[in-house]
Amino acid sequence: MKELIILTINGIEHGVLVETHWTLLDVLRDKIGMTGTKKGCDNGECGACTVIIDGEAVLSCLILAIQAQGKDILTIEGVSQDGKPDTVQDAFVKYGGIQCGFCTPGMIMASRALLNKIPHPSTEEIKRGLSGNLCRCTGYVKIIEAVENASTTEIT
Amino acid sequence: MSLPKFEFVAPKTVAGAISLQKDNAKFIAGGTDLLVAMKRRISSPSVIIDLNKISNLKRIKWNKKDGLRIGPLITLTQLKENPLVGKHLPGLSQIVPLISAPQLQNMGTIGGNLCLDARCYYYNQPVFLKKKREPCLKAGGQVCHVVKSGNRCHAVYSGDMAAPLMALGTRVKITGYSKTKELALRKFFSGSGIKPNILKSDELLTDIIVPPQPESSGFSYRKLRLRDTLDFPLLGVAVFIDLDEKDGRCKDFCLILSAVGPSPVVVEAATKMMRGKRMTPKLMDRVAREAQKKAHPVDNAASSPGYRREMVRVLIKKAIREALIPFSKV
Ligand SMILES: Cc1cc2nc3c(=O)[nH]c(=O)nc-3n(C[C@H](O)[C@H](O)[C@H](O)COP(=O)(O)OP(=O)(O)OC[C@H]3O[C@@H](n4cnc5c(N)ncnc54)[C@H](O)[C@@H]3O)c2cc1C
Ligand code: FES
Ligand code: FES
Repeated sequence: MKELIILTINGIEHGVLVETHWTLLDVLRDKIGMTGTKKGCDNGECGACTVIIDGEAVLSCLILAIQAQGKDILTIEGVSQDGKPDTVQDAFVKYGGIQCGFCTPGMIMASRALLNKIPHPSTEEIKRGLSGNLCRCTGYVKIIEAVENASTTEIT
Repeated sequence: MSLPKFEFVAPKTVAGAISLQKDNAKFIAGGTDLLVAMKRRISSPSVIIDLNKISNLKRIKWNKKDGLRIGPLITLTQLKENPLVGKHLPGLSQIVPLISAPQLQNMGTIGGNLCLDARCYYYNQPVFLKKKREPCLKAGGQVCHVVKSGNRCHAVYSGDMAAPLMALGTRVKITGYSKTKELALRKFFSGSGIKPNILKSDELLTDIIVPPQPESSGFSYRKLRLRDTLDFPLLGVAVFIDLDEKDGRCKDFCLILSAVGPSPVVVEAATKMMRGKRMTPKLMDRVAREAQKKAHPVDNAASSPGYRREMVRVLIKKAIREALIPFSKV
C-alpha cells in the first residue's frame, strides 16, 4: 500500500506517494527525478549515494524514504548557491578531483559534511572523512588536494 | 537490489514497540545491518518496527555510582562526540573511528551493533549465489558449508563494540512484555552463530550501562582488518588493566577476543595469570600464547584462519602495551 509523505529536499517540500519498502535513494532518483545522487553498490559499501540529513552525511541507499519525513535533506542538487558552485565543487574542478564523475556527488557531499564540522581538517582527517567513499578513477590524491584547498579558500 | 515488501510502524514508546511485535517482525535502529540483510534476502520480516521515534532510548546519562547509561539508539557518531563519554570514558569514543566509515557511524547505533547478526562468507552471499547449495544451518538447513563435519553454525559475531564494552564490565538492560532484566554483557551472547544473542523476538535492549573505571586503569581495543576502513573485524582484541600504582602489580586484568567465533570470548585464564603480577614482556607473551588456544578461526572470512590465529598473539601484545600507556613506569 502506498503512503503520501512529505520530504524536505534542499529546502523545498515534495509530496510523494511511496511504498514503505522504497529507499530514499530510489525515491530521489526515480520518483522525484533528482539523479545527481548515484547508486553504486546499493549496500552501504561505496558512498556514491551520500546525502546530508540534519547536518550528517548518511547513505540514502540504507534509509527508507518513509524514515526521512520531517528531516532536512540536502542533496548534490542543493549545494550550489544562487547558481554558483559550492567551494568544494569549485575545488574538485580546479584540482582535477573528477575523472568519470560517478563518485563525485557522494565525495562532494561527504566533503561538505566534513568541512561543516571541521572547517580546517588535517590531511589525515580528510582521509578519514572520505574513507567511506570509493573512487575507481582518481587514486584519491587529487580529491584530497581539492578538499584541502576548499578548506583554505572557504570563508567561515 | 530492492527491499522486500513489509508493513512499517514507528511507535513512540518501548511498551508500544514491544506490543507491536508479532511473528516475523523486526526492530530497526540505524538499519545498516538489517536493510543490507533484507536486500540480500537473508531476512524478510513482514513488519518493521522503527525504534527511532522512542526518545527515551536516545539518552546518555552519567552518575558516580552506576557510571554511564547509554541508550541503545545513540549513534556511533553521537557516542564519539558526547562530552560525558569524552570526560569519563575517552577510550570508548576512540573505538568509533575503527568501525565501518563516517556515513555508517552517523547512522549505525550502539544497540544495533551489540544486536548485530553473526556473519559468514557463505551465509552473507547474495541469494542468487547461494541457490546451488542446500541451505546451511543458519538458513534453517542441516549442514555447515564452512566446517563440513559436525552440526554447529560457525557464523562470526563481528560487532566491534561488544569486546571493549565487555572488558569495561558493561551491563545491559533488557525489556520484555512483562518484565525487565539486567545482566552482564558477557551473558548477552548465546554462543550460537544461528542467533548470536539471547534476546527473544519481543525483547528490546534498552540500556547499556558502563561502570565508572578506576583511575589506575588502562584500556585498549585493537582490530585487524584488510582495509583501514569499512571492513568488519577479522579479529578484535580488548584489554583492560588495573594496576597497583605503588608496586606496579596487576590488580585486575581482562582480555576479550572478538570475531573469532559466534560470541566474543572471555579469556579467563589470562585474568588468573596476570593478577598480582608485574607486567613483564615474558608474562605478556605467555598470556598471549594461552589466549591463542581459545581462538578457533575457521575459513569463513576474508583472510585465512592460520593468519588470523597467528595475529591473535600479535594483537594481544599490542593491546596490552597500549593499555599500559597511562602508566609511565612500566
Ligand atoms: C559496509 C558496512 C561496513 C560495516 N562495518 C562494520 C564494522 O567495521 N564493525 C561493526 O561492528 N559493524 C560494521 N557494520 C555493521 C553496522 O553498520 C554496525 O554494526 C551498526 O552499529 C549496526 O547498528 P544499526 O543501528 O544500523 O543496526 P540495525 O541494522 O538497525 O539493527 C541490527 C539488528 O539489531 C536489532 N536491534 C537494533 N537495535 C535493537 C534494540 N535496541 N533492541 C533489540 N534489537 C535491536 C535489529 O532488529 C537488527 O536485527 C558495517 C555495515 C556495513 C553496511
Ligand atoms: S550506493 Fe549507497 S553506499 Fe553504495
Ligand atoms: S571519478 Fe570515477 S569513480 Fe571517482
